[in-house]
Amino acid sequence: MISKESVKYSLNNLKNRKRRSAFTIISIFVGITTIFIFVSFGLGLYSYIDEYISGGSVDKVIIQSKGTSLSGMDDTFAFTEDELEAIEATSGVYEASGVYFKSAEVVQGKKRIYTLIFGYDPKKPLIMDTFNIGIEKGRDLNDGDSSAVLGYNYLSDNKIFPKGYSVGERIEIQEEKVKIIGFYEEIGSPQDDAQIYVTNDFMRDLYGENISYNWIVARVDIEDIDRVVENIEKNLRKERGLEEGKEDFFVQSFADMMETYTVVLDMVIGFIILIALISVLVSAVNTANTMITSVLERIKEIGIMKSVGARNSYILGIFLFESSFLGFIAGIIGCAVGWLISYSGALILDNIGYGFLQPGFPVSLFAGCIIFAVLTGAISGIAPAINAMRINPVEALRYE
Amino acid sequence: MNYFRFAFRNLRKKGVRSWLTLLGIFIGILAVVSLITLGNAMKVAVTSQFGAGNTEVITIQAGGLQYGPPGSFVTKPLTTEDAEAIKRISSVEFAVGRNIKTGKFEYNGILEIGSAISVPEGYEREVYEILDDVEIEYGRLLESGDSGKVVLGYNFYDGKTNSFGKDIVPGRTVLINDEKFEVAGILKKKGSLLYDWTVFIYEDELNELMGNDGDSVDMIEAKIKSKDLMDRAEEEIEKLMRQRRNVDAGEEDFSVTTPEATLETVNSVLGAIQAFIIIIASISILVGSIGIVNTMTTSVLERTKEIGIMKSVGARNSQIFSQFFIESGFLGLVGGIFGAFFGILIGYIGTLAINNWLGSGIGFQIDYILIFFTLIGSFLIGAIAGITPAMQAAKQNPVEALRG
Repeated sequence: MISKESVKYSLNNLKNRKRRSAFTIISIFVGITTIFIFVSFGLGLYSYIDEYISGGSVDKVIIQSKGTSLSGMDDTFAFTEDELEAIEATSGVYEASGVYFKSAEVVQGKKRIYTLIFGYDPKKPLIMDTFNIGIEKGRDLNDGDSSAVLGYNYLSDNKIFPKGYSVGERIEIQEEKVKIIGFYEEIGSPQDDAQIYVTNDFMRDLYGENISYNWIVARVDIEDIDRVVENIEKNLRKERGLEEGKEDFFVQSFADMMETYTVVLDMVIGFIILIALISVLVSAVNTANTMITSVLERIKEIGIMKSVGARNSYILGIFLFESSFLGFIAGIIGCAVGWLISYSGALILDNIGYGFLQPGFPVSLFAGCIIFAVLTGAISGIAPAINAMRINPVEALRYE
Repeated sequence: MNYFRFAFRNLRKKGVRSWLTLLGIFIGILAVVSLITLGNAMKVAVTSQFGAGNTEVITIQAGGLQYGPPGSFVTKPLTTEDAEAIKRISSVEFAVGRNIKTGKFEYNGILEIGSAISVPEGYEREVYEILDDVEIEYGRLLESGDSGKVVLGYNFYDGKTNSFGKDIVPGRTVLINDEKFEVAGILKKKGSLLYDWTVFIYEDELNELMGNDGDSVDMIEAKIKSKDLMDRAEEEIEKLMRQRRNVDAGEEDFSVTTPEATLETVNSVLGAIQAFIIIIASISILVGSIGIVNTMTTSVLERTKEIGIMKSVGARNSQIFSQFFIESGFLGLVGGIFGAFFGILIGYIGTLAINNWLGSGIGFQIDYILIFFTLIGSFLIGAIAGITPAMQAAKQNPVEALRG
């Protein structure tokens, strides 16, 4: 259907109508660029999630209390030591440990900030096993440490406080001077990189003996996870004296919890791409317009080609090739410009502390965008190409 | 006027191509108008979530992470004495401490977790009329001397939507943290999840239920004597609280906010999101205008002979330019009219959907200013896109043009 000659002929035609071809290409590439940018950031976010959720998360189950604020933050129905033991004694649970979240007041000189302080048990660091965060400087917490490991941003000047900290220095947390023993690697969001990590024992020193656990994390028998979850629910209900259906807590596997985040991310990115698709739709209309004009202009030419024996399929092929080729060029430019914008945007985001918002550039993204552009061109060329094919050679030759 | 008639005739004659060009601008304008309309409706919906509409109330909260309801994440809570002290400030009419706590609510054997807010005894009228701006739908509000009674937000009422499977009407008994309470009344719908899903309960009873010491409060609300005194009152409250909590200026471990400030923060975040979406949607208008340039260029080429004739019978360059300029503006305008119309239609349907989803009651308003600027804008976009083709047309040499 498409021969070497017809390709040459089409390319010549596009070259002769430089301005119009250029406009068509611009209109497609703008839309492709927008889509490229958002998909690349979306892919980056997915791989970020994958990277930080370690293989250690598959056999973890999280027990949270119900509440009215962000998951686990409301400690009205938080868990006691007895409840932790009841969970640990459940069949199918290998081990369990409690986690604290509290608001911490941190002071340097005249500056006061509030941040999240995170307590866990270094003997059973189940919660830390689920994330891939390494130590940047110093060391991790050990049992019995009355000191803190800080988030990455405390290392630098003017990020959280005017002056950065280093290992061995003391930092004022909740009106106590706490020794710093280490820093975590950069997570890439200002909130996470400002967190403070301490042992559960030290958490009770800071906030009082009777504080309760916000989360309980359990390592369970993964083969039989549904039954284990049921057993945990049953035991905790018994411990709290609750009837079935009236729980003030819920049990969720770590994988399920992460899935809810991914679903939200899917929705946001899907919505943005949907809006960006509107511009692709408009550019498809433009392309159709260009091709219709092109067919009208070349009516006589088509008549001549037909009268010397060109088949309908040949004519169809020429016009389809032209519009797809426009799409192809637009796709390449769209990817190039999109890459440039995503890349420089990521540098800016990294600079202002949102390092987790990094785009991903897999080959499939480039290929997908180019194929999509070609398809857009091809589809918008179908109707004009069929028009061209149906031209009656006799009338066409007479056409003025 | 002749220009317009001529332009319109030309557009009609060109048929399919004009319509396709229009479609480009149409889709772009449609997207922008509907997104702005929906964004505004969302703004109203979110703003109404923040409840109280009284602009003379200042809220004081202790410093802490803002991850939940007021007071849930503070390191050093406010106290009832703080409220007493604020009350003594001359510009303050009255001040009360309020607690917002999470608890269990049970009815018809079904349990839900939700929030309860305290009503200070002796301040019932002030709380209803001034601080919370609430009215009663069924039954009555809490009255001095009541004990074991609560007032519920509107969403508790309807058995079909309240998740308890049965209507809750005044006189019924409900369990809050396993204690029995009688429902005194149901409030009017406020369109705010905060208020419509909240239990209003006397302070002492709430403290007893939640094991609160009765001394600390989650927030203090102060009614200022008049609107003109707001700034002064804000400063005075800040100064007093600094003294009471023994901190220097610039090191506050508490916050004093006016309703305007809260709304401003919310609106600026929503505005930024809206602007972002509209920029992306505007790309399609840009693409649509490229389509106009394209169509107009072709149109000039097609009418080369016509232009030659017009020139040879004495048409000036400026007249030829205006002809094409206006024709192209017209393309934009017609696309804009259709786009605005259908955009508003989509906005209307979307608003109904938001109301349905949030259970809010946002009234739909046509933004005439938006329509006006959209139409002007679409004409201008068309006209600007037509500048180069129009200049080309005007520059044609009549002799060559006649030769075709």
